[in-house]
Amino acid sequence: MSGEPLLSVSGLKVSYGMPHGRVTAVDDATFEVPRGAIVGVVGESGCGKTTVARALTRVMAGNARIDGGTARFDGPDILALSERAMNRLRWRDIAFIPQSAMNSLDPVYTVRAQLREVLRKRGGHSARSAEARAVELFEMVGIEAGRLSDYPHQFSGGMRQRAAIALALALEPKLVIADEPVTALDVIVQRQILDQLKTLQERLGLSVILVTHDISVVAYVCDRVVVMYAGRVAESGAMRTVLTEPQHPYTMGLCNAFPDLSGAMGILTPIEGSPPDLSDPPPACRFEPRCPFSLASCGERTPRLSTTDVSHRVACHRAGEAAELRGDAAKVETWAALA
Amino acid sequence: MTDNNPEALVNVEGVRMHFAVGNSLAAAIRGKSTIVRAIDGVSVRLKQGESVGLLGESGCGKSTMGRLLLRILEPTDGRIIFRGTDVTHLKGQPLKAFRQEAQLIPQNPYEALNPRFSIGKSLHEPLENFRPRSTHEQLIDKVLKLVKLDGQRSLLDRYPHEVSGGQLQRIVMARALVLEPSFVVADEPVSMLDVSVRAGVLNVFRDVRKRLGLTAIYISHDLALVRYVCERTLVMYLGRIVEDGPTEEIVREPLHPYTKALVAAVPEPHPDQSRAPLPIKPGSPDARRQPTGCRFRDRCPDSFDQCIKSAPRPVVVGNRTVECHLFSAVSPEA
Repeated sequence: MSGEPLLSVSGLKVSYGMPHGRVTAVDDATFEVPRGAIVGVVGESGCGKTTVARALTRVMAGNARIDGGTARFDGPDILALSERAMNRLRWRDIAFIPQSAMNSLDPVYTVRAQLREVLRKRGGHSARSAEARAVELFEMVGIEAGRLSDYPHQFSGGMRQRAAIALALALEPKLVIADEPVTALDVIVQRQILDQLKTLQERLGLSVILVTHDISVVAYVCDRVVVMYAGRVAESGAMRTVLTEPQHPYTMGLCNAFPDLSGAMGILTPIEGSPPDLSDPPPACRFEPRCPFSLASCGERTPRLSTTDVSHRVACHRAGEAAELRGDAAKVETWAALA
Repeated sequence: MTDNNPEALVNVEGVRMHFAVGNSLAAAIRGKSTIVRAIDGVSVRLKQGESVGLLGESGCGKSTMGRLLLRILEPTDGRIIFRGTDVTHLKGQPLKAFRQEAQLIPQNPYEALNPRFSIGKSLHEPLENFRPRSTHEQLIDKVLKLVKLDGQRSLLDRYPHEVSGGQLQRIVMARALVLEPSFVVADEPVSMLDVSVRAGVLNVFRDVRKRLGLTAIYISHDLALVRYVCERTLVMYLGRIVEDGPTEEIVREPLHPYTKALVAAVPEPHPDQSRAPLPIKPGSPDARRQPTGCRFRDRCPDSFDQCIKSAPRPVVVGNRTVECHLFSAVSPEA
């Protein structure tokens, strides 16, 4: 995890064309993916996390447009590459696991046919070596090779997710972008898939961007975390530091809003209100309307992501007082005052 | 048909729910229909005012069980006694009366309300059917206060797509409570909600339940959520309750091997947590292909000879009931 990061995203801005004009879904997103690390991108629906993932693969909705920023992947800026050059990177260097594994698998082809297609067309495998590799991949993700002849609907949810992982790893990419890979799964299957992903990531030295809304998934497998709120990065850094010493009030709120099994049974502290409508966002800090610690300046000046310490960046005017604020953030009354 | 235990609000006796699947005419003629035993012999008593978690993986039968308790489904076998009355096969007027007593809080608030009805109309609808008009406004005020939406009467003129997910789930909860039921079944009510608003909805649920003394079933696959709202937990596996007991005891020391795996699998929102392999074999429960003997034995790390030979019977262990041969009279060595 040393040296140049595999991927450096800087000032990424993405908008969607809507009937009433363009809506900026991702605004000035900056973060890094070190080599051999799992980076969690965490946030609620509409925070822009999936848009970031899609922009990095350049497979986007028809009304989406990249308005600015760079994403240096092992050197070149992938946002500036021609479609042709980008297409050469897909599967071979950057693979994508979409939100629902059922959507990444074609229902009318067997899983074998889909693996072979990637291996042969993208990886230049011969028929024989593609078959051998398909068997190897299935063993790697823990499905019997005999099930290669099955169609996706014959698989359980967990098996489909494993098959999607096998497909993503087929050509040994450097970076895997997984969008909510375990969201629709039960706790037991979720844990097994995360264990598998972590084992493979370590064994193959992969870098992974794991998009999720679930902070406990981040806590379980990620090395680093990027917390997004309303299209912007609120906080980023090493997972342990961000989760145990959060500096942004939103991260503090997220950490207190989850029930767990080991802690004492206190009362959960909800973050009152809901995320803003991005077609009409708050003028400065986007968390200001829900933030119990906001000052007058929070409604006037947009907080920028700090640059002093790249290992823990935060976009909050009161980041310097984080240690004191954390105590208050754990109290229900603090947040309830805004209700 | 009266129940002599006044404490039990709901009494479930040997309920089975079998579905026939993949039954084409041809299959029926060849006698090849498949029966899925979604619920396969459940007996349980729910005390008045109790809050009970129904925990298990998808396909374990927990949602089917919820629907049976609300008499949305009729079981293949067994009976359900509600406040001393057999409601298993209720029809007509008595069923309508029962509907006012027992309500569902569904999983997906975005699909639960008619998109063409204003929120006010959705809340009024149950009242139109069951309560005199003069009481409507008062009942609606009361229920809005209960779900902490008082002071937001303007919501009543809006449509479901115009309000946030957290508000919508509270409205769905309000609709379930507007007739003042004594029993509610909440089917994963926060799974579709944004994380920052989940805690708010859970707090409202907890508060409402305590304040009204409601008897509640909370269906989930996440023990951390169940722990937050339920004092008692029923663990289901392939249509049977394999462990039943106080939630805190189950969290601290699960007895059934399946419960152990469920407890170990709950992800924790902080970095210091066990990353040990789960004590369960891969696979997922399939009600169509159940093993003989104990239905959990093919995934169980502790299975032994007896587990192939016979299905375990419920055994009382302290405050709990466990269905596992490890706790049966037959010792593992025998």
